[in-house]
Amino acid sequence: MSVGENIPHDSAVSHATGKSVFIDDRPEVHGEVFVGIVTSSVAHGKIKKIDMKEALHHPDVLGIFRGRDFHKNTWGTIVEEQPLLADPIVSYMDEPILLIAVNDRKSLSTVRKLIKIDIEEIPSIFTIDEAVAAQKFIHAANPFVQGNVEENLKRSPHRLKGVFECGGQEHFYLENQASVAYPLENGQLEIHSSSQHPTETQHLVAHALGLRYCDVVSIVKRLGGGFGGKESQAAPFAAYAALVASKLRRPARCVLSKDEDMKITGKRHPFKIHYEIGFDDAGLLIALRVQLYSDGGAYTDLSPSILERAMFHLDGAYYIPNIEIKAAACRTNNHSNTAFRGFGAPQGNMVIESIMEDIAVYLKKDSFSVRRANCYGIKERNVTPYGQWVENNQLPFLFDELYKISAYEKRSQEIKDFNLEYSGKVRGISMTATKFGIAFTARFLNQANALVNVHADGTVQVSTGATEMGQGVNTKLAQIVADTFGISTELVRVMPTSTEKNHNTSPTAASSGADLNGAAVLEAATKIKQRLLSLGTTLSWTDVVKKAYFERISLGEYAHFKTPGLDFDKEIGKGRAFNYFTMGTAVTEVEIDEYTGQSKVLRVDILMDLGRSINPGIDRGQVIGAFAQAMGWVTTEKLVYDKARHLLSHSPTTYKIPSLQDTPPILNVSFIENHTNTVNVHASKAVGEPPFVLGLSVWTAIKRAIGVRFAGKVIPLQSPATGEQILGLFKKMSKET
Amino acid sequence: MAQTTRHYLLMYINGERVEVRGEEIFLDLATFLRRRRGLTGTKVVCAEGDCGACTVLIGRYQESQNLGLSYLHFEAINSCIAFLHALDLSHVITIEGIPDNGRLHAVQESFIKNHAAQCGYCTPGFICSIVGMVDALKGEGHRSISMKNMQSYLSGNLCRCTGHAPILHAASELNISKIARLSERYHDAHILNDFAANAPIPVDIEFGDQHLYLPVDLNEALKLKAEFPDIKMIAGATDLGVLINKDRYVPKALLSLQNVLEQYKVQDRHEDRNEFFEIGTRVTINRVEKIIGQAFPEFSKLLHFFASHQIKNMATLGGNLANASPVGDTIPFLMVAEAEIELASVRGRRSMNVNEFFLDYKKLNLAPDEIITGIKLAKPTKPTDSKDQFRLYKVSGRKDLDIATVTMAARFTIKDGIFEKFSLALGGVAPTVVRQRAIESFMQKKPWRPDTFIQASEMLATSIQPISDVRGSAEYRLLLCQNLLLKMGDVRPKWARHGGAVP
Repeated sequence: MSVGENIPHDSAVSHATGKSVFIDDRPEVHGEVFVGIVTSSVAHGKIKKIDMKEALHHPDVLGIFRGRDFHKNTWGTIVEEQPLLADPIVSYMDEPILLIAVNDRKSLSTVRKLIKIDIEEIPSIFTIDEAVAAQKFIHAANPFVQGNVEENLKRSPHRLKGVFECGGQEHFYLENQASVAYPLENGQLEIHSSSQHPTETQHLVAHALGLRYCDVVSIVKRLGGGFGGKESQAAPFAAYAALVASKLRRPARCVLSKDEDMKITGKRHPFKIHYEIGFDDAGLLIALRVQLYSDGGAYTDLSPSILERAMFHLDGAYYIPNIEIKAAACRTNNHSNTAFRGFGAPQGNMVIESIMEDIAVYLKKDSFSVRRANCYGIKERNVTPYGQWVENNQLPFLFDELYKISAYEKRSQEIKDFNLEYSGKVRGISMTATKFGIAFTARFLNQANALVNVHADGTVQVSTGATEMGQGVNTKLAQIVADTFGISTELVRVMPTSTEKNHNTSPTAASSGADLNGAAVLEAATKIKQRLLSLGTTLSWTDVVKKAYFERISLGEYAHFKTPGLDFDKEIGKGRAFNYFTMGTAVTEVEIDEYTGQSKVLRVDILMDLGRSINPGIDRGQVIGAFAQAMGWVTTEKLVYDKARHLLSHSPTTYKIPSLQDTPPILNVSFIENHTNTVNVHASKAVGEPPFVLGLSVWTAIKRAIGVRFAGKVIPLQSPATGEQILGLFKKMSKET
Repeated sequence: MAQTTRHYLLMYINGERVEVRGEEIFLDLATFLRRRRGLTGTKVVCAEGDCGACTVLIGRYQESQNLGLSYLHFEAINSCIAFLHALDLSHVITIEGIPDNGRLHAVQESFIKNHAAQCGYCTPGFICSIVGMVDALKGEGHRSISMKNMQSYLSGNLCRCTGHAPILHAASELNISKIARLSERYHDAHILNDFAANAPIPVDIEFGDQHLYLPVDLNEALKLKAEFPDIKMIAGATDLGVLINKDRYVPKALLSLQNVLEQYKVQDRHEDRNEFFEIGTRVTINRVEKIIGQAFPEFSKLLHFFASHQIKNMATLGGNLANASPVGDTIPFLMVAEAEIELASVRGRRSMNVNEFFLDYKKLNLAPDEIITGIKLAKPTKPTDSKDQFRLYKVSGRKDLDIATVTMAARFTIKDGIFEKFSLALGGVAPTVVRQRAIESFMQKKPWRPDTFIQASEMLATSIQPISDVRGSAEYRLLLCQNLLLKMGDVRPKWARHGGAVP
């Protein structure tokens, strides 16, 4: 009933009235202190001496803390190797070294100037090339191999070789990293943080302070945006607040400014990719050899998993009979790069979409026909490089249908005509696809638990491990519960995520929030419903609940869910890595000003298979939001560093996310009917990350538009396609011709 | 009237009277609202006026007086870089003041219905901007909201979740004829009387080693500037706000002309047969854009991209000049327009051609006791005179609300296809905005032909030495300037000259 309805976000009213409470909106309680961070002024070095005597005498300073003040100063989601506070080795510019506790945050700038940190510099590695030359790797993955690449490359009628680089991306969530820690009795702590992973926050705080998990409660009401940036990297800031709270026995708040946040925290991984592709006259792929390198930064963080997902998505929507994917994550002296919507998949996918454009140029074909010819088949040509079949494959339909509804053919002709007439502008059009594997590739994370409590008045409280960061997971959970009970969502409240109600939870990540927690919620609610059904079906909801209470029938339920059937074997690189795929296609038309290199998206058409959407309005928001974010990544969002590795683009003045004017003037989003995804709750499909990959069509369209001036030439466009890069390419290539 | 001195700032917040004293006058409005008034609906993200999360609306008594209004007109500003000392005699409306007696505003209802909020952090700022837009458009007699309106009024707000399309949709669905303006809802004679009674009283507030002066007439200001030459003059203070927030600067003594009412005037003046705009230093860029738009359509277009609506509601031409940015969005235009800067001190008044005003990076040709009191801009001989033409360009990483990589202003007269006069100013290529005298003289008497522009653009390779920075490399800057000249002459860039498009 309420599943499938387009109802508003459960926080829509409080958001629109400014009443939604985020971490720094919490009223300061008596005795509360603010925690400031002092960071490194070099990218790599050994701390020789810290002089904080003068700072400690500042009247507003209550304490200054170092790494050694933690019970355990190392953390890491995959490998415990990253210091909470660098001590004594610093490994990246602006790495946190000290915490200052003050009464008033306004004092921090003065206090910081009183501290002198003497660091002896150590040579640094900043680029992927330098790391590869020095063989500095965080992780080298087991390769994915299918068929015989060597032999088939040799016998390919055509071969293209290339190197492709894509840049990082700042999350730019609007709410910066933020935590408050409240000391409780018996050494317990209550942490409120803006985190996608309350359980990791709980565990890290416990490790850092030498507490047991049962002594730390970690609560997340909501996040002002996450996008992966608060999956692993929110936890250290909670540990900072917790350390100060426990040392001073006072509530402690740690909230970063945008500049601090951008300098300290990790970003999307930049990648450098070497490839050789073999194909036939029709453009059909024969063999592909790829070596991926990512810049993991100074510490492991989530880099191995992100690298793997890049490998899993290198095929994109296309069947590659012979393929070899090798990959390694480099260790550099950059901020430790981390999860960001897509989690490596966009970087992997970008390689194959770039290759598709190049093959089309090389064979003088339209890139759509090359893509369509290589698209995974329904009955054949449908095995991925890691051996999983592409089941329930909607890709051919999504390509063909969007070709029609976007008027691709007619517009291609119009664009050709436009480009023939000189106007100082060139246009390009391109269709790309997404086939996003849904499941954590770390198998154990594919579990969730839920608590559903029906109160005597018939209202319901639902708790899960999912965190609400704007994506609408709470709304979907409420809809699933309301639907199960046959009641209005008005009667259902989804409560703040708390580790005292839901334990050992997975991060809200990998687009899985509604899938995993929705399934758990459905199971819990169904169990309650079955008990109520025994009381007869003629009673109204409130009456049956009342009756159940007096009959001493339990009105609460807990359920645990795990995704069945996942058996990917990392050793051999084969198996069922994903529960299913979310698929879609997008056509983008761009225009480039030949004088300035500035690009503009004129029109976007998106077609997606989201199964039976639980809330089409929310899903639409996810699709458009993800697309826009990807559009920024491939165009204006450029991270700029100086020689010493200071991040120069550390605020919106210098780091440009898409603005309202960048919204494509024509933006059509449609979903296909597909009720067959029975492996997921209510036959829905995950939506958070898959449409991000569709933003690549902006980049491939730019690549095509530049090519207007250089017929038959492969355009060596890298990402992001800034005005500077585009204009530079025009100039460089016109010299070559 | 007996002149006393006021030792507090007078403001209203959501209809409530507030006297601000002591340390608080040096706070930014966002911090004041959030930490001192418990109004946490206003968010702070970037603290530099670039994201709009902190947007609130203000009605300025001084401005409404000058416009001859009997009510306050509410406009969006960035509260994170607006200091309380810049908001004397203002009525501030925050997101908490947007609902009408507990009933949601139409903008709020539309946001809820159209999924225009996801994480919610940018939402209060967006809603304030849209409410401000509705108020303004209604005031100008519009009945609906166009895409162009939205692009102009909402350029200063960023959302990272929605991709903006749902927000545009929510705004476009509004039926503005049914929405009551804040100026009506918050109209209160008591408030206006209160402001009127306090407006003629100079403000002098000392706290610790900080001092604020808000004189009510120019002579008082000049005396202060003569007595304390180190005093910091502030106009819209949009740049100063950033410097303070980012710990780069703490001014000790501040002097502002915000309560000198004549400074809010734009006057048409005649001298001999020439006509001028005389623009006071308190006239915001948004008002400049409206008032001189007809006479200088190209400049008006440039101002459209100059900055966000919120910034333009605080920023002024005088502030832009005094800030002396090497890019200086309005400066290249003012240079080729040969604008005059009016300066005053206790020693007297003088005016100076804007081309003589910039000595070096952030160094002005200004005596320590002098104050900018106005900008004089000669009107084109006839508004539609096609002979005297301007071409203005701004290129940045993103088209809107982005500090430019380069700016270019050209002005020329042409007769029978031959250039008579030619002026060219470039920003972003040197420590100050620079005139290109060599190219200017080269262009004299040259025909409007492709090779003229190609030669001129080639001259740039030796006449400018731009630097590489976060906004672009030296090579890119040079190439941009060269291409802008070609674009002006409608000459194809090199790669499009031969062969052209490939089918």
